[in-house]
Amino acid sequence: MSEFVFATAQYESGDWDSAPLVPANVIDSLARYTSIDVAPTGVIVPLASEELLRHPFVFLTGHLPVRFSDAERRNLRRFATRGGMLFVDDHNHDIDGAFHKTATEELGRVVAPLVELPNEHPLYRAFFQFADGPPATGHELNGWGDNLVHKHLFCAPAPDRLTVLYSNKDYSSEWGYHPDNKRFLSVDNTKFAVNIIVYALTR
Amino acid sequence: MLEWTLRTIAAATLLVLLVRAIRPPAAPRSAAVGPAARDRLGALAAWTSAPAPESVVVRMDGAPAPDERDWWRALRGAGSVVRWSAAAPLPALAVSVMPVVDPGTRAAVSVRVGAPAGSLVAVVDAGSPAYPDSVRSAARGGGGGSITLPAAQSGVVATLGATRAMASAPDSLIRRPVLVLGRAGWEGKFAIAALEERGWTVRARLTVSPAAEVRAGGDPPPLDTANWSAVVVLDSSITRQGPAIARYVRAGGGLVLAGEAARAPAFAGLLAGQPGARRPGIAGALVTATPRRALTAMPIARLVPDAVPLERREGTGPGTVGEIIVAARRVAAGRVVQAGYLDTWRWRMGGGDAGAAGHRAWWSGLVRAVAYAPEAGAAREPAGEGPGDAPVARLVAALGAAVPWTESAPPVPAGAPGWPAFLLIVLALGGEWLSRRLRGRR
Repeated sequence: MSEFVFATAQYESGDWDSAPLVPANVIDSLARYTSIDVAPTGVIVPLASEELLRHPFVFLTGHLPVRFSDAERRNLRRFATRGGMLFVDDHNHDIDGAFHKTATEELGRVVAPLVELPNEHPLYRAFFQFADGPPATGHELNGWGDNLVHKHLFCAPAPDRLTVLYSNKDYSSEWGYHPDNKRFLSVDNTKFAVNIIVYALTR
Repeated sequence: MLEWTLRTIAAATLLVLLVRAIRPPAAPRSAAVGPAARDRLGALAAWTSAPAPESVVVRMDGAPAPDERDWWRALRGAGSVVRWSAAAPLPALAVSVMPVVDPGTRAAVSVRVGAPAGSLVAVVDAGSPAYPDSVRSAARGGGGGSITLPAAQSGVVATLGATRAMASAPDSLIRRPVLVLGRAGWEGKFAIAALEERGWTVRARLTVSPAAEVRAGGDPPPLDTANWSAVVVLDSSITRQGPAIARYVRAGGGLVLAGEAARAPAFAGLLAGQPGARRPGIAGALVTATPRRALTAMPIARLVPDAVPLERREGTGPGTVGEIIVAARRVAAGRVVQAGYLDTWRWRMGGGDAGAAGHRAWWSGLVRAVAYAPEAGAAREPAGEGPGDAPVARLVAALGAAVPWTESAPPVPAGAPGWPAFLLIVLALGGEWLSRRLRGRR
């Protein structure tokens, strides 16, 4: 059986590589908490390439406006239709920023309009228990960005699975062990990443 | 004196006829009937009111209908020695019909035909005989073949030469959930998705850590045929449940051993063959007409004697032509399919527009091949005048093997006709009357 490979999406617009430390931290947590076979290093997958279809879970982040090319849209649509799951995180941790507005518009056009993910969704019980829904990030609690604690994630649902999971909670900073973020010293905030990947691997 | 003599003759003849009528005539010692069905049925009808011969040879030009066969068997049970013969050997033809245990295949039946090796059997829905299909019986291994037809409401008739067989499917089957076991990973996720999208009800227990597993569909009930149609094992991590799975299979359950699962020691006694070394697939073949060539596989190196290869692969390199990748066998009352492909999910994700559908159908086919699905309700009987599902086999079971054909078998001995006695009575009484008239007496 092939091992899980953490794939980060590379797209032509924006700053797709704004969270380079996330893959290593998530891979470390997966190996620490689970027995899932996981590749020790992540890969970078161009959104327009056939390589995308070899990685059914792909992480996409950035700060800047997102505008997919036609090839990226076409490939992303195939990816979603065939069973892939795209996890998108707004590195700006706000609700009306450039990334959020453009990314949700693109995803709505390519896959399906995003809707709120109920906090009772099985995603929050896939491995660790998150009874209150998505865990808050340090940036949310510090009042940065839009000064909100976002109570929900968003998704493009498909029967019995998620094709797109969208967050504007800035997990990219939270899981990247940003120097400003000291929470990981007492609370392992990558546990929710484990839930997302376990969910992707089992639903 | 003459008149008295004539009256005596008439009275004596009447007495003889009366005695014959009261006392059954002696049974003929042996008889041969046929080969025309009308002659055979006529003889049977005659022997319902007259003693049957001690020994009968029934000549057949084809297998008899169940009604006639049962009639001959009854005659045999009544004490006559009934044997049968045919001018040419009757082909051993048998047919069975079962609904397809695949929720994605709507209203279809699987027709299985047993016939002499290499023969071509015409198969037709009895309700629409104008559109026959045909099945080529396997050239080796005892013969046999199968075909899937749209649901046949009136039964299916198989014809080989002059021999016909007919069977009907039971009304429906009870299809139970499928249990998927293994480690959390893409193979499990997409195998479950394929089966669910095809209509199977799937429960899963996927191991995430030594102390945790994801249970899709809630806590699974005990592993037995009352709860599950099949179990799919995805890898070699399943050890604790091994004995329970083996018991389930021997009791009639179905098991799919996918990929590395064949390497689990717990399943050593259930394998269709020994898994060989991994062979890489052909790069780029996912989007061809034979996408599974692109998949890494563990060919089945040595089949166990009762296993049947289900899928061979075109060569992916030197010395790999015709390697067996999928094989099946029966284990006690259950069935096992061993599939040597690894990471079939790549077919779904990267196999072009048809990849997902192909992946779904292939996985469903694996489960369908082993699924335990008991009949719901009684099987419908074929029409009374139909030939039956295995006419030659049932004929042999009823009357034994055929005896050599003899061209000059004795005809059925008929009883002495009554008309000479009647003529004698008429002549005697007529002579007596004439004698009296000539003497002037009335």
